[in-house]
Amino acid sequence: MGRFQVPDLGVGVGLRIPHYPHLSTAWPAVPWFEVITENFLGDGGAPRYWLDTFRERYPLVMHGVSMSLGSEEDPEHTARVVRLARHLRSPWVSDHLCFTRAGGVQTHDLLPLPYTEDVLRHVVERCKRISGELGVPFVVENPSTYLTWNASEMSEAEFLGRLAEAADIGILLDINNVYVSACNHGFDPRTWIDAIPADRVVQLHLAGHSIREGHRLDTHDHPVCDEVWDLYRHTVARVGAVSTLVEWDDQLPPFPELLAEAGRAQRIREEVLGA
Amino acid sequence: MPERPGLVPDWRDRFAAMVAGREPAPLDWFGASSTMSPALQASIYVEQYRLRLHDGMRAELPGLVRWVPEPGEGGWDTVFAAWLLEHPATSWTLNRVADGFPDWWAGRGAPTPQVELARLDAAVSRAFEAAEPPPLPIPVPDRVVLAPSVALLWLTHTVHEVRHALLTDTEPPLLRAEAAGVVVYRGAREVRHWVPPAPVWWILDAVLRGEPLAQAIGAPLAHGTTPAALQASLSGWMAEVATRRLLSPA
Repeated sequence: MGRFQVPDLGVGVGLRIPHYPHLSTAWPAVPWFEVITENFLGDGGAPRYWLDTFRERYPLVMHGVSMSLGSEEDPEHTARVVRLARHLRSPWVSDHLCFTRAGGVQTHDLLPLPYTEDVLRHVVERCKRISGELGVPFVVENPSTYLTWNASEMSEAEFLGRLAEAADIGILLDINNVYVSACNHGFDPRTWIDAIPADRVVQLHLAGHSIREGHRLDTHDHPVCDEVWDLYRHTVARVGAVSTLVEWDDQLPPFPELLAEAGRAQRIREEVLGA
Repeated sequence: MPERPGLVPDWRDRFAAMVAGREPAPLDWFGASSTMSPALQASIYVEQYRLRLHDGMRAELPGLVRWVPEPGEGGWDTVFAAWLLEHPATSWTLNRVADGFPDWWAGRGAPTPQVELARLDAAVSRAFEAAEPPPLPIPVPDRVVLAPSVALLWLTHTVHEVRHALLTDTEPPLLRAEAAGVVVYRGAREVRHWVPPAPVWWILDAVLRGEPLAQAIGAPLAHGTTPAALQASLSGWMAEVATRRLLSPA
């Protein structure tokens, strides 16, 4: 068992609908899958059928996008997440350091937070409460950001590290997000990674992104780029053996191609860790 | 050293309102980077919201947007932008983003068949993730309700035939003005629609209105079904209702 009772499951991939036919016939060897929590919070139907089908063969870990840690809780959403986590026996549950709703508007986006002491206190309380309800470790991920707040009083890395310590939660370090944000805001991604408390990192994300006019966008529609692979090597050397997940959401390749990306991550892990 | 600007108390609400296009971007809140001005930074979130929510609307109204590719100047993007400005998303699931759209679309003077197709799209969406109905015990209790996935629609045009063709990539039949009661439900994992004999639709409608089954069975008599016809066909009709799992215990 790894840190914070979060196991190292090896290198997994995201579970996506277009791959269901292949997965449910070939049943390829995959150490674990990550599922987008909100896609399975409904009461029944095909989503729950497929989730239960795959649950019998693979470890499934819930990764959410709508907890809106930076704003007020939606108790109905939280209750559904807790029910699903118990049903799935998700070994941990993750969501993002952001807010998604406010003022009666659900934006369905990961909106950046101002990194202030007040906001930190708010997010710490939200995370403590969620951790208590979940009964399994709660883990928070750094999002890609395209905007900085003038009011911020600390860096994102400091905010995330202090949050993890104060709320006693794990960190999902998304290396692609670090790289995208670093390019957009002009900071050094290695300095960012080195500022995170390594012993709080329980999962890593890898993904591809798009280059747009004047910025990079976290689109999950490309292979992982070379710079992110280099950062992955650097991160594994720093944080050790923790679960890694390759995300791919749009322009999905055939499943074997996605699995090849996971295989590359596995080889790097083995090289770095000497396993 | 310049003083760091503080946050206004309602910074979350105002930021979300900016993203939803309801307020201008407070550009003095944001810092520029070497490649991104505050205006560009804010516009990325506004554009991502637009793309994501409009995709959500299209996913919720697949029949309507296929049947009417260009509803007017600016296409569906203009319609959806107007809808979302008045009705921003409020749920954690994008599956609710078009809730209420059919009535709103009707209020903007949309032709009746378009509104009916939008209602059919919405009913299918609701059925997709609805809870499984508990088994109906035998003998069937008098107090029953419609299964969670079931929706009853009274359509005046054959939009259900058009929608089925559009979503199965076949040539849509000509639309006909022909009234029918349509039942939307989920069988196994697939959402289906069924045009039952009219008396069955009236029985289900009575159940929906809370009538006990013994009373609901008589509902077709008020709509022209003769007692003899009702008696002759009732057991077959109810067997069909049971097979499709349209009822569950109250």
